[in-house]
Amino acid sequence: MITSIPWAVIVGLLLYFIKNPEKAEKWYSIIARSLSFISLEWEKRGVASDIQSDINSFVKNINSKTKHPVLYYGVKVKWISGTTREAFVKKGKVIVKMQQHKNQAKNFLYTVMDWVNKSLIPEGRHLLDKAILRALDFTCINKVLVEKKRYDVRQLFLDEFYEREATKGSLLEKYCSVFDKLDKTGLFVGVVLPEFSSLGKRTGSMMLDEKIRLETIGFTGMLEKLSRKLHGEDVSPTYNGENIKCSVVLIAKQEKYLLHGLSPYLNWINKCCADGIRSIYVSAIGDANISIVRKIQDSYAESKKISVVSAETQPADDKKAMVLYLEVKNNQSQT
Amino acid sequence: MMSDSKYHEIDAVHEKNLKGLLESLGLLEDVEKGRINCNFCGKTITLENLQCIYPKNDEIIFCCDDVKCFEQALEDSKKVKTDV
Repeated sequence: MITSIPWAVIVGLLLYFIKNPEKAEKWYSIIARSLSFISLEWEKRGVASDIQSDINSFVKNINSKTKHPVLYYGVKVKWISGTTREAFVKKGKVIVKMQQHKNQAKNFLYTVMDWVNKSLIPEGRHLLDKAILRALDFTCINKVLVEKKRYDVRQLFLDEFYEREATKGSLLEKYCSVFDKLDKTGLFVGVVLPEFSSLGKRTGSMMLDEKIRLETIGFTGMLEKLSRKLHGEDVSPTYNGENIKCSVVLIAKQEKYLLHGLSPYLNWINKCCADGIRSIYVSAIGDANISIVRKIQDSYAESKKISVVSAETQPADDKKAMVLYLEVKNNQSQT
Repeated sequence: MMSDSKYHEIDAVHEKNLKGLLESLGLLEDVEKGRINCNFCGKTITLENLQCIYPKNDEIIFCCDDVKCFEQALEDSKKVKTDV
C-alpha cells in the first residue's frame, strides 16, 4: 500500500503531463533555466521552452473556447548556430537574435510579435481594416502577457508599441478600448475573433476588398456602441451585412425575464433567423443572468433550425461572464 | 495537443552563437568593422544591437533592435516569400 502511493502519483503526473504538454514544458523550462550555468545548451532550452510553454498554453486555452481555432499556430523555437549563405538564402526565413534568459522580456516580446502576425486570423488579416487589425493584434498580445503574468514584457510592450501608436483620440486607441471592454465580458474571444476568423474562410478572397473592409468597420462600430451601452439605452445589437451577419443578445435585466419569461429573447432570436443572421451570441454577466442564458441554451438543445456551437464562461472582475454561441443552420450558406 | 504543422517555427540564434552564425555567412568581419547598417533606420549594426537577419533577392538584410525596425523587418520578410 505504502509503495503503491508514489507509483500512483508518478503515473498520475505522467498522464497529466501527456494530456497537458505545455505544463510539462513550463516545468522543463524552470529546470533548464536553473541548469543554464552548466552549458549553453541548457541555457537555450530554458529560453525556448519558457516562451513556447506560455504561448502554446495560451493558444490551447483560447482555441478551447471557440468552435474553430482562432489562433492557428503555437510557437516552436528552432536554434540556428551556423549555416551557409546559399542555404540561408534558399530557406528565406528571418533569424531572430535571442538574448540570455536574464533578458527574457525582449526575447518574449519579439517572439509574440512574430507569432501573433502569423497565428491570429491568418486567412482574413488582409480583409480587415488596418486600424482594426492592429487593435486585434495589440489586444491579443496584451491578453497573453496579462494571462501569463509577464508584466515586465507588458511594460515593454506598452512603452514601445501601445503608447507610441495608440495616441489619445486615435482610431487605434478607440478600437483597443472597445476590444478591451469586450474582453472583460468574454465577447472578444467569444464574438470578435470567431467573426473575423470566419470572414476569411467564408469569403475565400485573396484580394483586398473595400466592401469587406467597410463591413469590418461597421461591425466594430456596432460592437463599440454595444460596449458603451448604458443601462436601459436602446442600441441595435445586430450587424447584418453581406459577409458579417451577427447579433449579440445581452441579458442584463432580470426583471424582463421575471415579467415575460424567455419569450422576448426567443422572439428576438427567431427574428434574427428570419432576417438571415448567421451567428447569434447570447451574453450575460452574473449568476442570475447566466441562469437565463442556460435556459435559452436548453431550449435549442433539440432544435433543427439553430445549433448550439459553444457555451463558455470566464471570470469578469469579481463575477462570472458567459457567452452562448448559436448558429442558424439555414443561413450559413447565404451571402 | 498541437501537431507539428500547428507550430509557427521561429529560427533563432542565441547571442552567444551570433558570431559563429555571422562567420558561417561570411559577414562577421563586416559587422565587426561597422560596415553594415540597419535596413530600416540606417543605424550601424553591431553584435549588440543586431536583432534579426533575413535574405531578400540574394542580399542579406540586417535589422537593429529597435522594435519598430523589427516589425518592419517582419513585414518585409513576408514580401520576400511572395516575390519569389
